[in-house]
Amino acid sequence: MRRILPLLLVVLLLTGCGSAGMQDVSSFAPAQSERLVIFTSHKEKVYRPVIEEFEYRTGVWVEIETGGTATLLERIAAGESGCDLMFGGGADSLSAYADCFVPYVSPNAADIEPEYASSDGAWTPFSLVPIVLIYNPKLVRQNLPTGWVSLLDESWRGRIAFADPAVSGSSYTALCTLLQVLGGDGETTLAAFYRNLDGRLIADSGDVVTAVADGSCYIGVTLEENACKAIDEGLDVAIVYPAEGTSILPDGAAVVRDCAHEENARRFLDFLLLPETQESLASELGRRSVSADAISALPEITAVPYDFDRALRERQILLKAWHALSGEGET
Amino acid sequence: MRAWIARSFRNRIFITVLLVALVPLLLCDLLMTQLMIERSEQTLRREAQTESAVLGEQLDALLGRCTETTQSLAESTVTRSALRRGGDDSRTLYQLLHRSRLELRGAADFEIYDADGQCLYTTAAVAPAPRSIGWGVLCAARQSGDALCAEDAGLTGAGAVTASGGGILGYVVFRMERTQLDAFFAPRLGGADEAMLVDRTWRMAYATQPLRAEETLAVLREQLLSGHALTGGGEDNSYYVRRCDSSGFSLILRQPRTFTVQAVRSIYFVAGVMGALCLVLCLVCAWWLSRRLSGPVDELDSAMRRVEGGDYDVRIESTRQDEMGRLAASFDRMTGEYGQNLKRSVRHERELNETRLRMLQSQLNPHFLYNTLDCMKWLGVTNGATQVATLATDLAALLRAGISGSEYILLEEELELIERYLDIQEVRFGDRFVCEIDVDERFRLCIVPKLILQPLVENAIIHGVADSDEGFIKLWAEADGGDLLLKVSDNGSGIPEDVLRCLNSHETIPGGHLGLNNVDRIMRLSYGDSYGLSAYPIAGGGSCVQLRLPMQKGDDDAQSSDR
Repeated sequence: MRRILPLLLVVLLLTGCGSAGMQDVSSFAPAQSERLVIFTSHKEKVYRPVIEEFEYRTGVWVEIETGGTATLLERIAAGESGCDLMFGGGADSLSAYADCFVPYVSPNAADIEPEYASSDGAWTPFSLVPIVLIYNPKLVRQNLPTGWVSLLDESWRGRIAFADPAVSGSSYTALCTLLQVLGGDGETTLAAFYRNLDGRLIADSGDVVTAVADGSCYIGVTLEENACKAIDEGLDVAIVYPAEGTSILPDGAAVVRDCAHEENARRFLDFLLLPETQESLASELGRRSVSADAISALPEITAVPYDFDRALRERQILLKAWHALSGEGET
Repeated sequence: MRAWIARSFRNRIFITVLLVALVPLLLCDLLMTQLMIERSEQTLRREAQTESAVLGEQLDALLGRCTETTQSLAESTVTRSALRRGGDDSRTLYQLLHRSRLELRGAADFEIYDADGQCLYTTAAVAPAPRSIGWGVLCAARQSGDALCAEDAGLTGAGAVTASGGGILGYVVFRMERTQLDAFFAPRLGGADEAMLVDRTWRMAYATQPLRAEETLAVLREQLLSGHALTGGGEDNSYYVRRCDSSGFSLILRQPRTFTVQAVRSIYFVAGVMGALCLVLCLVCAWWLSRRLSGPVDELDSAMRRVEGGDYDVRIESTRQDEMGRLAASFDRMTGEYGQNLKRSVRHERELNETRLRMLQSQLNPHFLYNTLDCMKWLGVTNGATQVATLATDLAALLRAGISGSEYILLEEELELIERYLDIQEVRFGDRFVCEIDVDERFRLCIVPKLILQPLVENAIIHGVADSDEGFIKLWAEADGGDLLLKVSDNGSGIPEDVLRCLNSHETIPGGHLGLNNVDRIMRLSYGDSYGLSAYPIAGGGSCVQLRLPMQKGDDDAQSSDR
């Protein structure tokens, strides 16, 4: 057997030669200093032009991973994700994971309206996304919804598209805004709203627009961004900016602590806050700029001061009350 | 396995033949397959590299010319004045733009934008939408003078037109649309090859085959970043990358692999089937060859076993002319001789036993005679007949010696017996003969068969002396090499010719002479055919009988062991 072994080795060597015929492309790969790994929860329409312009300007190779905000943030929190920068996610979500991020205040941050800026610099706001009401213009011709109070109107009972606030962050924000705007006894308002939903909850916040557009619901609560996109696509959806005003959620980006390409991540944040990037938000991407000076094509809206910290604090209590109602509704 | 191989010669041959035939065969099989695949892949690789190099160079040249034209347009006073005044001299500018386009054989369209990104002049049929000056190629052109950018399915380059004061007047843009790039790539690509043009961070600029190109590029980019080989998510294509140094763009050439995984698998399958067939063939050949080669050995082995079992009639009788044939013949000869030897020694034993039996039978009478002689001796003594007493005493002594147990005695004892015999013959023949015993002292302790000399002396007396009055008998001993010669000579009438011949050729002597015959046979049975009796005539009358036997010195111990 010992004499056959070298023979076998020769055979193995010969057979091994076959597969090693490809071009060595390692010289084309960028150096570590030219790389950036971005996790983004934005839609491709949003992140793609921004990231490609960043790449075009800087020559940095961006690796993109997409996913839901909660999933990506959990991966970052678990460590070893390889992520350098979280791009997207509401201010509340990013604040909740502030420990995972390195505070950074961009030199371009001076223009940011102060109410949307992060208090500790853990994240940098990128764009503003107001919550709006939508309706199907073919099905609703009279008695158009006007604002938050319309959601308590009995005539829409069972025809409201509203995502489960326990699952959707924007839906939770909408719920808080509703309670804040309408005032009065919170529990009564909550119960009235829940009753008006008639036990109907949309599982995924992205489906709210679809539910309204296909006529299964008449009105809905969603982000302006989703509504604009649906209108662009020609769906039967119209926007109502609530008369009482609405909460405007900033979404942001944050540099992950101990990441491999921190320098490039900061460059990306600087790039996000450049005037031309902010301008392109409204003109090309259907979003609102965080910059006070930016010219926006979107209608002016009344902002309701939204207390993130309180919303975060009271989340458990509110959701508990919500669940109690849903339990009641089931019985 | 090892034990099985070691167990038989045939298994060894089988395994050796199998290995010798199979291993090179399989190696060749594998090597040929491998070489064929490697060789053709190498050719394809070389072709692809040449192709991508040529493409890259030509594309670089084209882009270089486009950029140069754009620059010269941007620096042209016609452009400046047109931008400054706003469309007054559009005819001259259009002429310039179209001339530039024609110089490049329509490879690119030229456009002029104002400082706000509005398109003022274009060689394309449809006027393009306004461009953002804070984004993309115009922004880069403003910052660095000229720029090149990948846009949706095309390439765009721009150069800023600056006023003498340093302000931006507008931009000159060249645009290569999909159709124009198709016209560039299509004639330069061979066969089923596809090409992709990507910018410096590998974002898509153009693909000859737009279907699924984005997905493929995404996979390739990920593979490049993660340091893997570029396979594009499948195994059916090879990718070759060439960077165009002046533009920073990269060209990715996709070449379908001739030897796809499937093809390679089927090639290996065929090779495997061939290998299996060879294996079967080798097995059959090895089996046949091992049987043929080991046949004679097996035959020899089984014949040897039969010989061990006692069958000496075994013959191999091979007709082969080689070593095996010779070996078989030797074996046959050996067993034959061995069998004959065995037969001969059995016959010897039997003859010796018969002779001994006869002697024993002849010894029965002497017992009775001895007793009678003893009686006679005492009768002679009491009756005063001394000669009778002497005769009886000598005869009794001879008889006693004859019937005593030992077969071998010392020569001096034998000579003593001879003297007794001579005493008896003296009484019979009186002084008609004289016997001289002249044996040297050194031979006296030699061992000889008992009563072996008596028939010789008797023969000498009867044939040599009986008819004469002055007979002379002499007995002496000589050494001849390791042998002892005992000789008895007489001066009588000699031994007849035919008797001499019979004696010397060890044949039975007709008529009488039983004594000499017996002596000769005993000697030869005891010591072998080279010993025995011989006789020759002596010049001047008489003859000499000579007894040859091995010189064996005996002492008392040897004698006692014989007894």
